[in-house]
Amino acid sequence: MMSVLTLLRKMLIVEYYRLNVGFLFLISMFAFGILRPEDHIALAAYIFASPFLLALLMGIFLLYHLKIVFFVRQRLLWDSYEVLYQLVLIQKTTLGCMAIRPICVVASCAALCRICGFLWLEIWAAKGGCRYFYLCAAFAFDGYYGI
Amino acid sequence: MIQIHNLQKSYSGHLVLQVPSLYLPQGIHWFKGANGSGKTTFFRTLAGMLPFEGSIQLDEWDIGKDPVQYRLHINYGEAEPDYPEFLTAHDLIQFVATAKRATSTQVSHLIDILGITPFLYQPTGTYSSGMLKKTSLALAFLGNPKVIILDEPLITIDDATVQRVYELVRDTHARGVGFLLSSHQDFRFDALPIQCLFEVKEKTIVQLSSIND
Repeated sequence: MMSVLTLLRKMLIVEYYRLNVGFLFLISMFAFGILRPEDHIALAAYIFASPFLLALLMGIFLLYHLKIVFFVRQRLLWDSYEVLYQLVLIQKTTLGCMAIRPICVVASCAALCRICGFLWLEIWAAKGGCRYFYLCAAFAFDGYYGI
Repeated sequence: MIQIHNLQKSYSGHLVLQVPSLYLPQGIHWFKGANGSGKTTFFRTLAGMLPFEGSIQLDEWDIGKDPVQYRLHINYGEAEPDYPEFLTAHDLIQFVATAKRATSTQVSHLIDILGITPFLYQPTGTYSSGMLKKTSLALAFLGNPKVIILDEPLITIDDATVQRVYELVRDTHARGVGFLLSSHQDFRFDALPIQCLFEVKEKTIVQLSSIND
């Protein structure tokens, strides 16, 4: 199944982020550069304290999600992407498992951090070690949604 | 092998193909027709790549009722293959092999016989039209299909590869696989046991009485 993931990664995920590299850079700067850790916590606490701000945040995520769905749907109309029609031959449960797997890794990692209080793991994740998994989760969820 | 009933294919309300009834028995069949007559549309419809009205049945699998089983048993090789330029032949072959449940032995055999090894790991953006055609032919033979549709299989490939394609079609047919071929060039009838000749004209398909018509 690695071949399926490789093809989807190259055709949808890498292409999406290649075309939106500026946006990715901006998000990365907010996540890992501009804001201090205490600013992150304050911002999160502020958002969770207000239903309006939480709804606003979710609205932004929804818009971002629609942008990705639109990208995937547009690409599937391209002649050169026709090879992806073979995806119908792969069982939906298998595809679903592949999409969810990275998200489960991230969730497990976060839960481990919280439950065991592994501060060093959080620091390591923030430094970039786990960034790949975070990205993978976003890639997988976003990339497969439109197929 | 393939049974077609009341097939109608339209683009934006404009009818391009109408086949009231057609039975394609097991064998190698050649479809002729002028440019724009609808050969490729017919092939792509049969391959399950285009929506249509009517019914198509391959052995016991109806395209509407068993879409996965139907598509698993019918393969299609494009006339002018087009792939994203950053993918390699290896990416494409491994992906289709997984989807079509092909064995690694079959993959290696096809790569070897079609001479894909020298450019297997190069991006398709660097390929010539012949290299692209060889890749698409390899994809068309993967898995365990009952029918393989090859749209203009001989264009852009060199003479040595043409011979290997003939050989591949003959060997695959000997294992009980049917072929639907289209070509503007004449096939060598001593090389391929072509059973029926069809012509796509006036938005429908007619069977010619003999190869010489």
